[in-house]
Parts: sequence; C-alpha cells; structure tokens
Amino acid sequence: MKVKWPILIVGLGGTAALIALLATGFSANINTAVTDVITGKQAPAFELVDLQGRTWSVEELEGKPVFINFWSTWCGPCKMEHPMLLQAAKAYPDVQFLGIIYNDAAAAVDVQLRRPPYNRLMSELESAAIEYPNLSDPDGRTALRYGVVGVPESFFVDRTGLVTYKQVGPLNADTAKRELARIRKQ
Amino acid sequence: MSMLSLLVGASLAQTPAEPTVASATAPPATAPPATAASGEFLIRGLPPGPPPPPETVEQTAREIGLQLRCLQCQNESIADSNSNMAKDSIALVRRLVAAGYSEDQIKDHFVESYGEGILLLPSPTGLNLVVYVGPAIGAGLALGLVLSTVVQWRKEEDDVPLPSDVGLAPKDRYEQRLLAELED
Repeated sequence: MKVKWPILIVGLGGTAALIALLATGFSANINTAVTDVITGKQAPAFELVDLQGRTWSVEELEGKPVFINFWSTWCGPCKMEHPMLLQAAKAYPDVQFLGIIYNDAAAAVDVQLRRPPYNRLMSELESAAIEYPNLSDPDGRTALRYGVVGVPESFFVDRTGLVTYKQVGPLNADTAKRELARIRKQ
Repeated sequence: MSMLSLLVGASLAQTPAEPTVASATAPPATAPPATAASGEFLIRGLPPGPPPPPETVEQTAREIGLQLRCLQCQNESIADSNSNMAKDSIALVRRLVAAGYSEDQIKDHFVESYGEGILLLPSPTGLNLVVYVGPAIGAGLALGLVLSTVVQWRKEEDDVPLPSDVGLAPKDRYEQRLLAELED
C-alpha cells in the first residue's frame, strides 16, 4: 500500500496537538485559571470600618506605604503568619498595616486579637499599642474587588497607591522584609 | 501537593460561625441599593442603568452566576457552589443586578479583579477565538480529508486496468468469469 505522507503527517501532527492540549488541560492547577490582575495597578478603592469604629479608605492613605492582609480566625495559615505580621508592624511604623477580616465571627476575631497564644510574643500592653487596625469587610466585597481567592492573601501598596506585590497564602518573613523594603523606598 | 497548600485548602473549606464581623459593623440593609455606604456607585465610577423589576433579579443573577467560575471549586459556577467565596460572589451579582447594572458590566467588574479566567465561557476575542472557530475548522478539515480520500479510492478503483486494456487476454475461465462479473 502506498503511504500518503502529507495525510500521515497532518494526522500525526493533529493527534499530537490534541494529546498535548488534553495533557496541559488535565494537569493544569485550578488556581492558575484565575490570574493576578491587581499587581501593577492602583489599589482598588475601599471604605471600611475597623473594629474600633474608625473608617479607613485607600485614598486617605495615599503618600504612605500600605500593607493589606486579608485573614480569618478560621484559617490556620492566617494564624501562622499573624505573629510575624505583628512584629513587622512594630518594626516598620512608617508602613500602614491593615488587616481586612474576611467572613468571620465577631467573637472569634475578638479572641484571636486579644488573647494568647496569638499575642504570646508581647505583653498585653504592647499588643494593644502596636496592634494594627483590622477592618470589617461586609459581604466580602473588598476581598472580591482585590481578586482574593482564599485567605490569607496580602497586598503591598507603595506611596503612589500602586500594588507592587500580591502574596497568595501565608507570608514568610523574608518575602515580607523584601516587599516592605520596596514599598518604603518608592 | 505541599503541606502548605493542604493547609490553605483546609482553611478555605471551613465555614465560620455566626454572627459575622461584617454583620456586626456593616451598614444597615436599608441603604440605597445602587450605591455603597459612602454614596459612591457599587461599581466605582460607573452609574447603573434603570433597576429591573424585582421579580426578575434572582433569575438574572443566576444566569450571570452560571457564567462566573467558582474560585475554590473545579469547574463549578458561583451559582452552583456552596463555598463562602461563591456565596459572597453571587450575593454581589444579585446586588449589582438589583442596582441596574447590565450583564456585561457585572462580568467586566469580576474580570477586572480576577482576569478572564473568572469567565467559564471565555469572551470571543483575541486568542480565545480559537476555542470558538477551532472546532469548526477541525471538523471542516476532517470532512475534507474523508471526502478527498473517498474520491481518491474511487479514482483508484476506476484506474485499475483490465488485462484486455493492457493487451493481455484472460488466461483462464476463472479470470474470464471475474471480468464478466466486474463488467456487470
């Protein structure tokens, strides 16, 4: 039988392309379906009230580097990173640290912010003095606007209001130091 | 899968207890639907159109929700998922619909935060066009290939020379009979 090379090559090429497409699709990480479109843009505006009743907005923070951390008390990794964030807030007083509480119970937040073991690194007095504001996010609207997929997620915003870095998942000290240095310099 | 991602996944799967911080400090539910507490539009800088009839809001929100990907699920829409994030997302869709925003405006609002990946059905622009025209082109090519192969086969059948065509007389009765049947 005479082999029809053009047809054979087109057929094999098509089959290989299909297999490659399926292999890529099936091995894709679901979390990569949603891309980071916030980094490099102006931080989405919000106007939220903290646990003490003060209103905070992105606009009024312009000119100051800002660190925003979305968290919940029911999230284990958030608890892991919280002591490090409290230390960082103390070490960098020129950076405005803001916690945005996602979908949480008021009583649980109260417990986590004010009682051991989360404040074990400092006395109660110190804790109260350096604890950064934690804002309520009604219906998770601000989290949705920031493209948050799950907590914890953190955003570094420079003095011009530009998001320079987004961390999905818990933040480690090295990344925190590096990105805080960036937003403090700019 | 790393321990870290397991931890993150586990944290996402949990459901918080009530009452929520949001409900404790949220603006009253009687606030005008088209604007946030600050008086700004729900989608900043974008005024909504006229609000739809209230009885159509739920159905419209579900139709839009079916087109938006649940961020914590595998190929599930926010309209079908029970995750916290999906519930918040569909609640926002409902609120935007009630305020008078169009389907495109609402989808654009989500795309602005999450990128095109939030859409279960990608918009037919740019490279996404491959998804829409690719199958048609593939089917057309396959059909063309089948047709050309069939035509080629028939042509080859017709092209087979008979012994008599090349000056050879049938050698035996069997071959004579075969030729007679072929000619019928």
